[in-house]
Amino acid sequence: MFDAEFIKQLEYLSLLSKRMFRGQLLAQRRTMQTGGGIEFADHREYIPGDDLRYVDWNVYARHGDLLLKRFQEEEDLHVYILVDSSLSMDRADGDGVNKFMLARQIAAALAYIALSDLDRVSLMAYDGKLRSTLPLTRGKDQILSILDYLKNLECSGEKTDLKNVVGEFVQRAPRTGLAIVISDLFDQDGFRDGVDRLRYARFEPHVVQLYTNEEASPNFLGDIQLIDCETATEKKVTVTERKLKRYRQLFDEFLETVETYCRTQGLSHIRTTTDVPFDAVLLKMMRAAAVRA
Amino acid sequence: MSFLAAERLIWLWVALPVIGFYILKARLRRRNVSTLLFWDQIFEEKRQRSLWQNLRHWLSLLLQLIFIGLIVLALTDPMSRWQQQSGQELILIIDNSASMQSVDSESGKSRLELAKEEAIELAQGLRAGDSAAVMSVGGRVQVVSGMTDFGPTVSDAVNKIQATDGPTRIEQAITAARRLSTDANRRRIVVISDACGQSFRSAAKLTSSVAETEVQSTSDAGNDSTVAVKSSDQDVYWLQVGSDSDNVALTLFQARRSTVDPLGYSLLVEISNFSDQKAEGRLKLELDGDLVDVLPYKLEADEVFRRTIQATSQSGGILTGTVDSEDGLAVDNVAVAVVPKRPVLPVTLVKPVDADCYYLKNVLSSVPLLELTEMTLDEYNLNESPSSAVTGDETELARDPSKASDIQVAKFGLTVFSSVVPAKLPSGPVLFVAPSGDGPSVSTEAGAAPAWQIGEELESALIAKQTDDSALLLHVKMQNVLVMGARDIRMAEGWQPTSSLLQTAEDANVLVSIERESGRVLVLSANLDSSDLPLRIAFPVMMTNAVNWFLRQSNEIHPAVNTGVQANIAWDQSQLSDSEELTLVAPLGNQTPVAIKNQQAITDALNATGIYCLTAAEIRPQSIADTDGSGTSLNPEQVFEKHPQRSQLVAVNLCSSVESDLRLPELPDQSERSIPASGWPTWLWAVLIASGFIVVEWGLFHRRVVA
Repeated sequence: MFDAEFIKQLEYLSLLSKRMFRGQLLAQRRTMQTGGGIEFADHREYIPGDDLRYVDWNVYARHGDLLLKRFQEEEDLHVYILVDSSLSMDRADGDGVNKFMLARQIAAALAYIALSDLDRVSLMAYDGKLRSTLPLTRGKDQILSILDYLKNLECSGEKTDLKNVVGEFVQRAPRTGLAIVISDLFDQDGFRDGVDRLRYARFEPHVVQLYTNEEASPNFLGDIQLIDCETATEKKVTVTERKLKRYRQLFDEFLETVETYCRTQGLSHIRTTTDVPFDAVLLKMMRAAAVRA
Repeated sequence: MSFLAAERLIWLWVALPVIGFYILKARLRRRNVSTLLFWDQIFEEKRQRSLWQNLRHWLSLLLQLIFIGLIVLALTDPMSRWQQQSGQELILIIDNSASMQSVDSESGKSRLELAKEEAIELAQGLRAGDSAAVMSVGGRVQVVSGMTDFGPTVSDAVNKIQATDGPTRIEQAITAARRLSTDANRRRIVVISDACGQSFRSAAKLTSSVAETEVQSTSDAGNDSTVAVKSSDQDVYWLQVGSDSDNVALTLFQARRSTVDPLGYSLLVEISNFSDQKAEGRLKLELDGDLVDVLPYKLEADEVFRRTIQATSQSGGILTGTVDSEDGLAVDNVAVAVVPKRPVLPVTLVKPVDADCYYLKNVLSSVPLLELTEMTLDEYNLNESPSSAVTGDETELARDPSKASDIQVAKFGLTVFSSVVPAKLPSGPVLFVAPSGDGPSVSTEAGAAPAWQIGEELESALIAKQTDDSALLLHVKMQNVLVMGARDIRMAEGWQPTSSLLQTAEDANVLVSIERESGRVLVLSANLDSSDLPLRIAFPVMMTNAVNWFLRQSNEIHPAVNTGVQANIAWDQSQLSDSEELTLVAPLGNQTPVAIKNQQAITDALNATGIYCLTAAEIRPQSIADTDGSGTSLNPEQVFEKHPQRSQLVAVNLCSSVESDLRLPELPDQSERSIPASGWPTWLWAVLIASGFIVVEWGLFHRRVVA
């Protein structure tokens, strides 16, 4: 699944990411805290008890004011990658890559890029609730454990509930950071509540939406018993061309809604079908981030 | 409504699984989807139509059941009462005359084969309620198949029709067809023919005349006259087959006895060129295979060559004329005639010892082909008596008179007793001239009695009555002739049938003929030595007639008969009563009984050219002959050879300028009219309606699935 070729592709993407959205999306973010960094940030008046090593003697020599130099503290980024592992993700176009596979590849790529930038990465799989969590790790040498974690993930049967998952996630997350949601967003109760909750908790949500071409445009007609793969709900319908047309229209509206929502909220959003390779998806993400920057 | 194949209603069981599938709601295709979010939205919007959807499903089921019902109905081949009453009655008149044997140069098939193909095509087009009959019109009108609504039967009947050498009888066929189908509105008479010959014009006239007749008859009746005229005027349809073809034909081939040579015959030959081109060739004449003559001919377009040929033959035989022409019709290139054998007849004149019988002897000598022998009564008795010794069995002779007659004829031929009377009436033909006394003793119903009693010499034997229809007095007029020395002849009652041929005013019989199984007897009471009868022209003629009468020969050549003609053939081999029958043996050995009336055999129309044999002999039935050792029946020549005394040959030729002219006449109305079809069958309607329903169901399905 994650072979050497895949690792090589991750490396390449990591290099690309440094050029394209270094400091924009991931890693080596400067925090608003001043502290023990090496880059000058500001002066403040000396208060007795301050460390004399930080007094700017040059200013004192010129102006006679005791000012204390302040430095911006560099802090690593916390990247949380939430991978939808509901049964709806276990869909593919024919014999192609299914959504869950693509989601894991994207997650691995993003994790690798983050680790390369010395960020902390945590991965979580969810459906109706958080199924499993990979704690925050740091360092490129952790990529193998991440890949191993992703490899062992499986789709489970609970119906998707992002709101519930985010609630659980927010309580668990030690710090805020980037929260990348990789999902088809077929959330029966709506994905917005979950994303909104991330925002409210001061996470920076990013949405990667996956779907198959068949989901976008089904090609079956006639009397059919539809079965929801997550809830096992059955529905006997007679599918006509008109209804297929209406379906495509509703699906397009759904995609549009997601995009509009993300754009309105200033969220990063990328959507792709399963026939697009994961590296192309990453490049697309990078370009989008570059444009936004 | 009736069903021609009601057993096919069993196919209605097909409806059961259809209903079952609907009731059991056949398992739907299952399809896993990622989410039902969007489907729920779609069908939430359409919920108000669910009732109609359910109804649409039930309507679909109903339509399918109706479809099945209609298809099964079509399978049962239903026939409505209206159809039964309105189906057309097709009468196929197929011309199988001689001209239909002509091979069409374009198709390589004979015209009859083309006609059959047309007829079979029409038979295959029969629809429910239709019926058809088949008639053939070659030589005679024949109903090959009566009205039937079963197409294969009609086709079989058409295939059975064989080509004939007879002429076309379209007029009679149309008349017969109208009798066969009396409903003028349903009647369709289809004449499939090459339309050769003048008879077609008269057939058209016949059609018109019938129409006019119906106009007259129906206008008297009232309102329906127009319908009747129209229907009768349009009930005949012509289908012309074949193409123009040139032909040279023997249109006349008749032989007759020569008027100047007793052994000779005259042959009248006519060759016609039915072509727009010149024709030349040779006519070869053969008598029993021996070449008699070869006549070259050279004919302009439509020219007729006619020639009389004189020839002589005592042995006789079958005279065959052959035109060496490679033309469209072969049957008219050959014609035959029968030239009878002229055997020399021995005549034994028995006379008194002292009499010369000068007149009688000379008259008999003047008759051709007679070999006269004279003897006295004693000599005769001497010669006649061993006859029984030859046979050695009188009882056998008594049982079989014809055998005794044959012996007598072989020994004496015609026995003429002049002025003498033997003690016993001999068998075979016997002529008594001026018998000296009563006849020999014969057995009558009342016992033994003289065959006749001779009266006294009449004082005035003036002939007052003469039987004109007798062959003995052919070309003889004896009325008002004084026959000196004649005496009245009174025949014994209850012996044999007699005919008084000459009677005086006092009813005295002067000439009497007796029909006897063992041989004919003629008694003439006139004294030839004392009367002037021998000096009259009538006497040798009468003697010649008598010789032919005794031999049962007309001395004439029977004319050849044309095919398709009901012929009266003179039968002069033996005396037959009207209740008896002859047998006619056709060239191929087929035997048919022939009635006889007044010694005239009345044959039906003969449909094949060639030599026939008319025989009174009992020959093996055809069915037995076919299964005997030879495996074949006797042909006419064999029958004649076997029974020459009781058979005679008959020549039959086509000799018809109508049939030989193979150029097709133009039928002005055939291209303008086609055979009207009757209504569509019910099964076809059922299929059409079923198709309509299935289209509706298809629409519903399309709306349900595609729309």
